[in-house]
Amino acid sequence: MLIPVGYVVATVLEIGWDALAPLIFRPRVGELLVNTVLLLLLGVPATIVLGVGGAWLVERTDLPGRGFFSVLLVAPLAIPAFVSSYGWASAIPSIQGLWGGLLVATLAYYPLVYLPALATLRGLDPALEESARSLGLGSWAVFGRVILPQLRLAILGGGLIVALHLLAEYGAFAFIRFDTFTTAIVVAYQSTFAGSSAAALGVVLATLCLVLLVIEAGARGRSRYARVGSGSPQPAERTRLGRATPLALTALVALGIAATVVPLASVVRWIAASDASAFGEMPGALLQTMLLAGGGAIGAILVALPVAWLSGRYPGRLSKALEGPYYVASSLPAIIVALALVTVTLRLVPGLYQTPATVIAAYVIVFLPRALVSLRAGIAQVPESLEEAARSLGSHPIVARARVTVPLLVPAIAAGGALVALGAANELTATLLLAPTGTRTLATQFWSAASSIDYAGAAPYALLLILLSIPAVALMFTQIRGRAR
Amino acid sequence: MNLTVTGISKAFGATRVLDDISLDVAQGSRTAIVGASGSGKSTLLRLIAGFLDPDDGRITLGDRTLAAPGTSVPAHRRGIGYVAQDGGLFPHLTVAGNIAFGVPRAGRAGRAARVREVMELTALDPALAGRYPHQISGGQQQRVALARALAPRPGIILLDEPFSALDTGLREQTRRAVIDALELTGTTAVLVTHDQDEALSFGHGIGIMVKGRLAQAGSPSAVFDDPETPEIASFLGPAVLLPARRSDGCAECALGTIPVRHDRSNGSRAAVAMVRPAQIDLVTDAPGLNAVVHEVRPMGSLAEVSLLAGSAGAAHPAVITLRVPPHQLGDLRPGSRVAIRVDGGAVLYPSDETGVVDEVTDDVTGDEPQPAVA
Repeated sequence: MLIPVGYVVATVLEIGWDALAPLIFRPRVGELLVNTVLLLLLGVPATIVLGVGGAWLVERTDLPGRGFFSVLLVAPLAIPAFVSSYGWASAIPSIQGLWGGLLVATLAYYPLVYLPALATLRGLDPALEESARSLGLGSWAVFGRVILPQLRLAILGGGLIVALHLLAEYGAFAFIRFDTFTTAIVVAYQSTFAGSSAAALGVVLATLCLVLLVIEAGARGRSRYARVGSGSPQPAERTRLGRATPLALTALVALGIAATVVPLASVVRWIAASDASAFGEMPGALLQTMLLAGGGAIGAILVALPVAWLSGRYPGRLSKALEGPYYVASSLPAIIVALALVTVTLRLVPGLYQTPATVIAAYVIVFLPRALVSLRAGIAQVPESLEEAARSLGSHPIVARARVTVPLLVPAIAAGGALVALGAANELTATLLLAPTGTRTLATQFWSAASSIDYAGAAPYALLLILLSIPAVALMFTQIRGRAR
Repeated sequence: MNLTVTGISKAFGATRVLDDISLDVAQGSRTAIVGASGSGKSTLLRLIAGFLDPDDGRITLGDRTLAAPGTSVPAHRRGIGYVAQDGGLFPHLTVAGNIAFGVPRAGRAGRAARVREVMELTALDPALAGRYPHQISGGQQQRVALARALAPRPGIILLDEPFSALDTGLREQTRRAVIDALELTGTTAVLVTHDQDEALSFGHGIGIMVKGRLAQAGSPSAVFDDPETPEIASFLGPAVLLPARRSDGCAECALGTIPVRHDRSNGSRAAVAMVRPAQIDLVTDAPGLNAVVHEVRPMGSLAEVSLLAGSAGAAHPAVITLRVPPHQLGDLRPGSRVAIRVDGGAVLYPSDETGVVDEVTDDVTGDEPQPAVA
């Protein structure tokens, strides 16, 4: 798990600051830094506005058709960002650069703020708003002074995830020729392999990542977990939109069209244009994807179980100390994880270089948090008293765990595994760098066709990736709705 | 099997939770341990069950030593049934699956028969066998938890506040069903509760825990009749505590001269007399009108009467408040003179060193038909 962190540190130590400095302080890096920082500064607030605004409209107003819109708003999550980018770029080829990147990334990632905001809004106690109103606050003042502060954790958490995704995204930006650190590292890797210029860029990218983590941790302060209570017995009075209704409807429809309909329509249009030969390699790619993603899911669950167990049953310094590095390592972009694994396998265990095992290891590192979150919630729902009951009925402690705790954890394991597997199926960068030659996953097949402007050949893979993602998105959506109820 | 606990102590960090507890529970008997929250009663139960190990002392069940300095039989080999406050039913198993959980796998038919048997013993509708815990009521859940604990034929059953999560009506009904099942199977049982009435009605023995010590143990009637301290007396039920002077086998106090039924005063002349409100009657047509009605407040089915007792020259006059049913009230009004009759004797305790005793304790639940003190 600590390989990527160790890799960054070792790179700095090994290449040495004197050799690294000229590689870092050069105009090209400055250009990338400007691009990346602008992307973060504009993209993160944009996703927050869309995510929180959308969640508020569907959860707290009398918007007509809010049930439909609540689902429509989460739909882009089922469309991998690079597919969405492909949809836009193939429809309007002039989309490119910073504004193109912002458009595509914002539309692809705002649901990462929308979901936690929705969960928080559902869990809010309407009594708070009612008291604020009785103290003389108007609708806007209530939103600004009561609702927004309670959404702080959702906004910070969601914003951080969006920012990390923006740093890590490769495919979506490569399509529209918008250069960030991640795309530059891939280019540098392809020309000089794991040379020092790729490593130098990696160090800067990793530093940016850590800065984000620190900023978020500082802003979050001590209130680590949003307490989403059991909800209110009566639903809150919804805000009347009145004459703003047409405006809100237009905005949501436009968002739905831009984020969901355009990419889907592109995919469908190219499928219509594709011939049967495009489907020929699909079963093989699907099988390889399932094997790799399944391996990643199993690996992530195996690693996450003891960690989640420790933090759930024995909360304390040790479990915190264990979780911290995991959290940092998993926050690093997949490209850095991939670079680290390339370097480590080549130097230490060449036998593992470009094997499925390395790909799976990368998936485990990158997607571990998904498994951890799910398992931790699951373990919290299995009280220790159940194991005690089993022991008093004559079961050895290990048997008690196997007969009681494990069966109760099955839903959490399945959910966590599914989320990891879906992330892995959509993963592009680490797969491109690490997979054995000849590996064909759905994502790499899509990529190789689409990046050589064979839009029709790429379309079937895009459709399959979307179809595969729908169950996981539905799962996340129902979990969030169910939890806050 | 008979359970013997000898000299058990337990500390969590610097906090001493149990201090030198000794307890005997005879085979086939039911004992309740009652105490305020934080008195260590649940810890005692968890030590017996084997979820915790004592720092010192011994626990034996029948002729087996379960815990002694340096040795401890793990929970799953103790053969002790345990019913937790929330039932602790396994949510992924049906009622039948829960009950069969601890039954040895000696043939499917044998297990099914045992499940049916204990369901009958605990008065559970056989139709519930296929239901999941969340599909049955709270009272049924507790009875399933008991059935599950009974199914492997444990040597003893421990119940940790099993009724406290239930509504009042359901609590009484479930308690009845549980006691019947224990009685029917002749199972030795230890119940932990904070409810005095529950403890007093549970069975053959009662132990009172105060701050990690077993303050008094014995049969419920004996302990209620003769509490060791005024605090225990008030804890177990409504008590009238009055300053008294001991003379010649009697206690002179505001209620008059009352025979002493238990003398715990160690011979000191200044003492405190305890009587239960249920022993007190108000009489208007008898000689010796020794109290004056101070105030009468109707309170629905009962009326609260405060009296100035001991106005007729008796020692230590005191204001006492009783709850009486309206038919006993007659035409009592402020200023009426009444006679206080005490049925049965008083328990006498030594007075505090200071000699000052609260005139009347404010500890009463007053829903008895007889007058009570508030």
